[in-house]
Amino acid sequence: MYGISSNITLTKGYRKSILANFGSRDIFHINNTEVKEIATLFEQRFFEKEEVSPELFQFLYDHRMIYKTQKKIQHHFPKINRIYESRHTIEFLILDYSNDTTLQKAIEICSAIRIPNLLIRGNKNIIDRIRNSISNLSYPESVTFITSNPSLLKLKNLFRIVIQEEDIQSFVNRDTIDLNPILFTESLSYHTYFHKKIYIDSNGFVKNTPESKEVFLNIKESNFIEKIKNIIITKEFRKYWKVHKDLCDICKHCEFRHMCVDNRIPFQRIPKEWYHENECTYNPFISKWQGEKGYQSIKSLGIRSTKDEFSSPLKI
Amino acid sequence: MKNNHEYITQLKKYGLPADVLNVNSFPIKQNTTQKTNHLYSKISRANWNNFIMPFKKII
Repeated sequence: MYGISSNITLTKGYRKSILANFGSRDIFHINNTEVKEIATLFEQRFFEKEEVSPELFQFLYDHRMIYKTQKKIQHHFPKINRIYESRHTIEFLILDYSNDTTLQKAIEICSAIRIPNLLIRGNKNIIDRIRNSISNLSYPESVTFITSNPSLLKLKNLFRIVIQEEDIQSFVNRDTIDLNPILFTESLSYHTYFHKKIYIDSNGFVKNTPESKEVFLNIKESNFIEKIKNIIITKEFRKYWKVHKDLCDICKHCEFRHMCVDNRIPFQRIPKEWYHENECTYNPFISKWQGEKGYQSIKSLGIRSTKDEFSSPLKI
Repeated sequence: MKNNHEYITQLKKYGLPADVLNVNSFPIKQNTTQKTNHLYSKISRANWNNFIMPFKKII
């Protein structure tokens, strides 16, 4: 008897599907016609060698996706429930650097609310100042300094401080698609971009992310840490946190939905139905990226996803 | 027993440790902690096993 490894996932799209292995980091982009047999195996989880076609069996066996077991011990391999759990209420604080007082306040917020990751965008050399101010603190655990200044990029990474180049490309991109077990489990029930994030802009205004329009507070106000503690629990702040990709119109037909981070703001049509105003760079209905040969936009295929309705001439 | 010295010699006679009940009433040399000057402070990077980094694209 054979069993399918729990490291393997199958994400079905409209035209193509993705078979991924977290253990070996293999990704297979397969046509939906070839996926039927694998999908039945996923439902069964345990099968005999004769039940599967020899080619598929050899493929799965070569890539270590199946393993030999005995029927007696089958119950020792229960199905894994992928639930995202985090011990931090906020995981990322993004700061647009303007002056030292906002930097100091951002670090204070991190240590008060226990935010492990601090991301700073700026072009000034403030790395020594950051190092001095976080050296005696356990939160933030790491600081990522994002810059486009070439002289800063030549510097070496320090312990707990990482220097990164600013990415100017669009958010959803061929290169940013990533097979990541944490991202995968998060995307099953949360929005991977808005979830557990807080943003402070150069004027000190507090938002959920740089893209969101709602301003909640200014850190120039007095008693700002207490106010932020109260704000991050509110429903308004967590508005987009639970909008996962299976609720969004076109994204739910995309095979990359559990591997991407999308910064477009979703809009609600009715409960559990969300839509985007701008198109994504990938078209799942013809499975092509923008700029690729034969690419067509989603609008030109006759698919409409607006405030009032979702309609398409394709069989969905 | 009031006379501690006599109590200890009695227990030694039967091959028992002085602090039979483990209440630390008789300080043994091994149990006393020595105060040493640590090379690194408590929050120093020497005590850090790992730290959390962003696992996805954020900005």
